[in-house]
Amino acid sequence: MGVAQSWRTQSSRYRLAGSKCNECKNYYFPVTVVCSNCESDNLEVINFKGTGKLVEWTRVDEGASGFDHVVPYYFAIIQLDEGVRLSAQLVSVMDESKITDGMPVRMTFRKLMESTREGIIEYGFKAEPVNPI
Amino acid sequence: MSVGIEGYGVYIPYFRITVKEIARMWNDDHKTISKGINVIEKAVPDMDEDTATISVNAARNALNHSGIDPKNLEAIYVGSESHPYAVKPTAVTVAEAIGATPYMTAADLEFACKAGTAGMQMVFGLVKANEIKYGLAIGTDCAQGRPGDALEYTAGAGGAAFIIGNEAPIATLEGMASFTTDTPDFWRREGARYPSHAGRFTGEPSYFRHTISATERLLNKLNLNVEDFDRISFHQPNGRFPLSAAKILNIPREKVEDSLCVVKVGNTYSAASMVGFARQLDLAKPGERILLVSYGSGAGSDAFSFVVTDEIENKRDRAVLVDQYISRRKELDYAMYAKHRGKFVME
Amino acid sequence: MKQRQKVAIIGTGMTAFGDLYEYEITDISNLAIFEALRSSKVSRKLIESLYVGNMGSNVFENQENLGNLISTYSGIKSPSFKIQAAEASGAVALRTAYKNILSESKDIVMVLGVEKMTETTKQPELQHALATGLDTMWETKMGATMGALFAIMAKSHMKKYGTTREQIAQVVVKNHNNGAKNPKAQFHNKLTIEKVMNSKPVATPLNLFDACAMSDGAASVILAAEDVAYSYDSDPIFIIDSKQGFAPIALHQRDSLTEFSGTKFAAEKLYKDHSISNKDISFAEVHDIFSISEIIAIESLGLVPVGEGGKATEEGVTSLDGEIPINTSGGLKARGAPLGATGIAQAIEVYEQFKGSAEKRQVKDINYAMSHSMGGSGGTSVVTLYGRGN
Repeated sequence: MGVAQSWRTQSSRYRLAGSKCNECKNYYFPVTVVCSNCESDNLEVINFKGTGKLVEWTRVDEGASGFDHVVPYYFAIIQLDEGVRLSAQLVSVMDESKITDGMPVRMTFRKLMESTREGIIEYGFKAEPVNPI
Repeated sequence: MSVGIEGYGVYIPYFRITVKEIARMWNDDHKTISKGINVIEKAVPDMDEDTATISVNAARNALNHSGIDPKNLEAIYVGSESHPYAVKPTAVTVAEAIGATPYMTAADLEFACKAGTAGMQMVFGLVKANEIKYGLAIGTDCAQGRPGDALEYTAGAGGAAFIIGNEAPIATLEGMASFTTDTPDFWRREGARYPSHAGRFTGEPSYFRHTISATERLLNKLNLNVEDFDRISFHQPNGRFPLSAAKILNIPREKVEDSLCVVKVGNTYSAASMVGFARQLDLAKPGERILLVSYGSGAGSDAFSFVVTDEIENKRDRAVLVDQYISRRKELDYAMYAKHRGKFVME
Repeated sequence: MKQRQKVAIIGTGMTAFGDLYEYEITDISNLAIFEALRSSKVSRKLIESLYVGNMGSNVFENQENLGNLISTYSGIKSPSFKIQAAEASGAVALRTAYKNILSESKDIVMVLGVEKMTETTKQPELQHALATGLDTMWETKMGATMGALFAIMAKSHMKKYGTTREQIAQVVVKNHNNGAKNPKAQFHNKLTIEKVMNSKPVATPLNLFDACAMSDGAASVILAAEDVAYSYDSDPIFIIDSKQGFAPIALHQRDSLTEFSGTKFAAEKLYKDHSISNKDISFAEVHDIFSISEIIAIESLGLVPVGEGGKATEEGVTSLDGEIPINTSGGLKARGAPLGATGIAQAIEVYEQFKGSAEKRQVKDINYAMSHSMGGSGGTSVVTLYGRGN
């Protein structure tokens, strides 16, 4: 990620900033400049609460560059309480067999991936079970 | 209302390595070591955790507990000796992540294990001077011990965040006092990977002299006796030193024991005395008086006296207790621990 | 003159797929291009446009401007350019060429699909290259890989329809059986369900043998307008239509984790526009980038009932001698998956089947055939329908 991209995506990565369309009331994650539903540009930036449920997940044993040394890790699709879905790693899992569909999760703050020793560290959200498992 | 703690929160990673496992690696007798330092195991960060992430998660817990709008935080200080960057503040990442930017001040602090309480002093000063309404002081570390060194048994990870203000404090500040000298008991030179220390010299002329002197200074200042305190949290580089300090000051060990998180999470450095203080607050009742004394090598101690208010009961259901983090645990063997702590040369 | 309805394939050329370490990307392109020219007897000079489908020359070889590069090395001096739509690059290039002929702007064009993946030798780098076809900021940075996304689809499909791990593995077994009969396939070895399930885990429940391997390869077809085609081939094989369907790039943005909505859209439109049904399709080449992808694809294409893709595979419905043979070539899995080349390789398999030159894997009594290609985890879908004249 370039420095400018890292900087401009910060609000969404750090505190789940998204957009709400004031016309059709659709929610978007991340922040967008136009409503892809009704074409309105009357959008406001909102922060999603960061709580939701686990839709589906997998244990990744073969990671891409930047993730290859941290395997295995859990990759998940999360549905936020506001209805929007996003992709996130699932962390704080002590016992994989206790992961359940629809399990309540909340967003925690982590380093997104291994960074080079000299570059910018990319922080962002990852999901964790609300009730420790 | 007088100035005090509006809310607090801690964060402790859930991975643990036991003293026994580290001793196995280095052919030490774990029973002797564990008994000597009064530590069973220590917290180890996940591979994607560092001082910034731990600080953010502790700060979010504190915000939730206080119930205040992050936009009202006008100062954020993060004390640590393991800031992720040599140049670029941890505090700004925390500020962005919790939504406190931009009309605020922020800085990183460094004073070995007492940088967190140095931040508390600064925020108390700003609030008392009516310069700001609320401020946030954080102490966090992901401590690095040289493999095979005695410090490796205790170098843990964790963070504690305190929101300070004068709106609805759960504990009010009675006073603070410090004791500071140039005492070289523990250091790390710029660019050096691991810290160095002066063995037993870290005890008598360092930890004990400073913690006790700061405590005595505070007692004098406030015209109090040690008996006036119901709960105490000393800096806890191991599970022995705080108990020894209590003994020297004629404090019954029961008043200190509740603070001894070090036994199960290790020495969380800048967070250590603050996590102990947080646990005392978890258990405190209105009207109780709590003594907090940090210690940072190099060396200095900051002592604080707090009186718990009725407000603590109103905010109790929003608190994430220290014990919830202590009880969350997954053991690592030494190999996985070494991977987590980046001890392998990968490139 | 009546408006053009169809476009014929009048020439084909394809390298074997696999580790072509000794060849440059321009070399494998030329091998395919000149084979197609020879097979059709079309002169280079008659090629009015060269469409190059390629996914990752930028990531794999630090080479862009692929149209110009390949024109230079092949001597085809017509307008040329690269078309990129992730793994669907070849299919989108084919569709674009087809559309250009229909719009009567061209008579004879060439489509090349090419990929040189073995410049990368490390798995994490390959995963990274494949992941550039996803939403790199909000999927890849969050830990997504192609394997992880298809694993999530597999888990959902298993839960929703009772699809078994064995049924998913059977896709691989079947495609390797077919690949063993294809001289140009990357893999000629046979696999068992056990071998697939015991291979190295990629993302639960999928294993290494559920995935395609790195592969080099080039495939080329020459297309001609219907009215021109008969001068080259008395019995031309036609592209009757080609539809492209859309789904959001990120899996998390899609309504369903168990269908390819873009594929479904394209297939339904094909059936409707040409008044045909799934019964009219004699065989299909589908995008089996992962084993589970084939199961979902045949359902979304309407070739088997929704939820029964696994069962159909288990029961042999999609085998070479089944009711609707799928991936007679061995598919991406066994024939090989040089990303951008796969869409063209599918067209060539269809062509060879129609021409009766598919030897041991020959399908009989062909009416219509279908090819299906996707980009990313299913955001881009192309479904193409083929048949004879009259």
